[in-house]
Amino acid sequence: MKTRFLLLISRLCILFIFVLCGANAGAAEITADPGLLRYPPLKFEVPQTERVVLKNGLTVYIIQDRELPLVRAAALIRAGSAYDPPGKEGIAEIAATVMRTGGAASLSGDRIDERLDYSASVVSFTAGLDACTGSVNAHRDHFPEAFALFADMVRKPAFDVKKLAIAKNLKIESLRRIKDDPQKTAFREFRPLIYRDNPRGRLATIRSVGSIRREDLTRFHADRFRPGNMLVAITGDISREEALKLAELRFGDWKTKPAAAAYPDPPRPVSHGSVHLIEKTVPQSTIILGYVVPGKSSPDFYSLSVLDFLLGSGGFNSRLTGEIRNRRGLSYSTGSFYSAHGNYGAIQAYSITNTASTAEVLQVIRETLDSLRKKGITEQELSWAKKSINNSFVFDLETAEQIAAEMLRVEFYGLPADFLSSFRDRIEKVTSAEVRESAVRHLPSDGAVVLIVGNEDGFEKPVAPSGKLIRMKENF
Amino acid sequence: MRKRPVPCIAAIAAVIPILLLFGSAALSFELEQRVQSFTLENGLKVLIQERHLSPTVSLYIRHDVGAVDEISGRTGTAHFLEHLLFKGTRTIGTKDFKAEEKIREELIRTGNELDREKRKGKAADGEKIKELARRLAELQDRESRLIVHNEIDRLYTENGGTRMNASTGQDITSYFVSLPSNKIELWARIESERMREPIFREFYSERSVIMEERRQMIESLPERKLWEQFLATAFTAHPYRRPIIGWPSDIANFNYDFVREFYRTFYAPNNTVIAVAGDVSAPRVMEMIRKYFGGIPAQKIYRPHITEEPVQSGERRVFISMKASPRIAMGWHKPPLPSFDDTVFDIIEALLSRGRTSRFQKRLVEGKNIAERIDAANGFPGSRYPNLFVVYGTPRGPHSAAELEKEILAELEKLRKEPVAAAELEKVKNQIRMDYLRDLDSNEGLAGKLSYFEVVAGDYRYIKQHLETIERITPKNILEVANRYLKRENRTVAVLGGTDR
Repeated sequence: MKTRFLLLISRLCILFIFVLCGANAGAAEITADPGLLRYPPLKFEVPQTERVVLKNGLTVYIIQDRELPLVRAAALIRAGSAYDPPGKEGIAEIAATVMRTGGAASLSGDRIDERLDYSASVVSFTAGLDACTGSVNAHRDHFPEAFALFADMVRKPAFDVKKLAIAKNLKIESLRRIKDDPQKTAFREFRPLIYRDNPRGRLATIRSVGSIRREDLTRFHADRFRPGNMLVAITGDISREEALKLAELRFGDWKTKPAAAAYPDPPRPVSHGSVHLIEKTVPQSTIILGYVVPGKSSPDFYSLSVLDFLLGSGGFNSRLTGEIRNRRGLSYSTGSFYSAHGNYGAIQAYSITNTASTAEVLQVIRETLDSLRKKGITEQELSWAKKSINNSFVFDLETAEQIAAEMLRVEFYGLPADFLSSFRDRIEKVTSAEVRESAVRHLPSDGAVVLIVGNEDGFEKPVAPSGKLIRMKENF
Repeated sequence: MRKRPVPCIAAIAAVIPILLLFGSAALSFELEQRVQSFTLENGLKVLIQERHLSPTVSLYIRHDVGAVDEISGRTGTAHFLEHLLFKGTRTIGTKDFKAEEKIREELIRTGNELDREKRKGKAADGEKIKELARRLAELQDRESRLIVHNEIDRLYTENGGTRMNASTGQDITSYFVSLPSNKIELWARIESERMREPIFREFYSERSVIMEERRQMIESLPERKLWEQFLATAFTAHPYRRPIIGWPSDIANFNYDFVREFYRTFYAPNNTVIAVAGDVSAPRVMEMIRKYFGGIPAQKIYRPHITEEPVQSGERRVFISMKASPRIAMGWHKPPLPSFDDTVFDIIEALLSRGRTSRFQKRLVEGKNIAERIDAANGFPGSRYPNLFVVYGTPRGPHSAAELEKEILAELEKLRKEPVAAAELEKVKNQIRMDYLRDLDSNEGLAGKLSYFEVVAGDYRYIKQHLETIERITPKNILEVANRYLKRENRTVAVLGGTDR
């Protein structure tokens, strides 16, 4: 009460001075508490996009944005590494690389490179867990050419054996180099620990990449790259008619047998937790603790988003960052993230801390989760998380390119059409009880999988009860 | 040796529309039409570009100060200061400012005493250190109870702020955030106060965070370790030789008063540029900036003399022993922007390592397949002072760093001997023209670029000048520049790991 009164007085003083100055008359006073600033309302609706399905089943989204003479295309294809055959892990990734480099239709890879580089157009393919993402980025005058080349790569990749050999060599070298980077090592090795025998838990290794042959790629391509498995978006300085004409021209006559390979089952939550160690002579430990949780199609997605925000992805005021970095000064990078796919996801808490604080930091992470399960979150935290998530939502849809990417993802994961437009409402409806229930159900204390990459000799105390620490080697 | 095939006529013809529509004149004309520039009475420079695509705005504040402005024994100060600026102000981050200040005085006194005792090394009094450490911990605890932790971060986050961060470079310190465009006043309120009167809370725990940052970002990563040693070798006198984060013993001895003094010297409105890009009305933003930042007094900036790097008189080499796959870094001294030669190096960088048809990618990474990657970069580790053109490579096993070095040097030799083909030069110019367009495509990229060049080049219109210079560059210019700088006595080579000695 008292401080408020004082603030009021100082505000009046400022106002008074401005009035005296004359020149500044009418200038509003500076609010003493920035939390009390008032803002004009923000007008923001999820933008409308045009969706067209070609006769062969290929879906095309179109968004016009004529500010700059740039046109982009993006594609999602059901050809992620989850479809790698056992023993041949790395196929999706190598296929993505060699589709781009290994020639297409009647053109060699080198000729394609020259054409694209000359007009400074960029075409690329990257394989993720569930999807292969393709993209085209070009000046509007060169977009038709770049898009045609892109379509040839998708439909008729040549998979030149020389380019395949190069791609394999480079991938193998980059695998070898992962062990030089403790953080990369940790996040890579964590995946098999939580996804286990699910296809998402398998890693490309030097051996599996080494065994990939051209016919593996052609088979993978024939299985996965089909009109019904692919979504395309065209955005930027291009009219609806032009975009549709190009899509029809390059993909309209693309016919394949209907998709055969089934969608892999989602990973299941781990029933018993464990603590693993990869020994490395480095001055810090990388600690990851994680769970398999539901994805975007689950009603729990919203409470899990709030939970993850408060646990460690909400910046300095999230619990992990506040405690480990801010109050204890034990880490520069710490927090959590929720990677939500369609029907599964993972929440991972992490911290990179000096070797002698390893057990302490792991304990803080465990206690933080315990408290979320036992005490839940405060109403104040809940409302802060909701405000933050909903106010920043506009940044997920800031550019035409982002909007297109989000639309593609919604359809790719089979989410309801109103997923984006209802997102903020759904977040708004989350209760603190639901957050706590989600913590109890999806992040149980005996189900946590932990991986530490670090130098065990320097730990200040054991990180697991004796006999419970699983020492492992990196998979290469 | 084989020359690259000349792209067919069709390709050359196809590129003409870019030249006609987006030749440098047309591009830069547009930029100047779009950007509104103001200078407040206190010297604060403001650049605004309205873009009404989405209801968002990106905001950059850049101070003309960086690690180069530190003095010996205090390396890392600029970066530490940047961390401390997230600790709040007189009105942001406190429960009871007066009580807090009183504790802080004692806390700093205790911390200073503890640091002094520790610096005695073997002669230090162990008991005294224990006692001081205990007292410091107690004071930190008392300070902590009076603090509203991370309030700046909370305010931005709850109002939808994204990508909020800060960065410290050799030449420049930057604070940036993107906000829903209706929240711009929050930014003005927070930033004006932290420019005018930041409070350095949690000084010692933040010092530990920096130690962790150093362990994580340098000690644990071979690539970063290599760069640190490379720079310490390539520069013998100029401060570019020092790591931005600071040497470990300087970090351990960060001193409150020294950091305060550094802040007072350089964080002045007349040493600052603001750039705003997004869904805003320029006059309204200007009015708001005047209201919040206008009252910060200008001050005389006393910049200490910065040692010039003497001309290098022979090749330098350093080997870093570390159990890791081999890596190599090479560098050549050269002048900074806005010199013509610097722009020629932008072309050379692109010729060597830009895109799949670049010389390194096509000939070494894929053709001979001896490297995992090779990158060239112009303007390292800063842009303001004479700097380096660098090449970084990772050999593909079983090839060694020595083999890779030989091949890289052979490629540079070609630049010194053979004029670049017209089509190859045109390709690179097209890439640089397109970069310009792509940079305009996000509020953040735009605000970042405008403010960066306003600080390091003294005028954002350098962007236009740069494009015009690019147009003028001929194969002969490249030949001359390559011969002038890319020579043995001007080179530094650093190798890490593997079996190379």
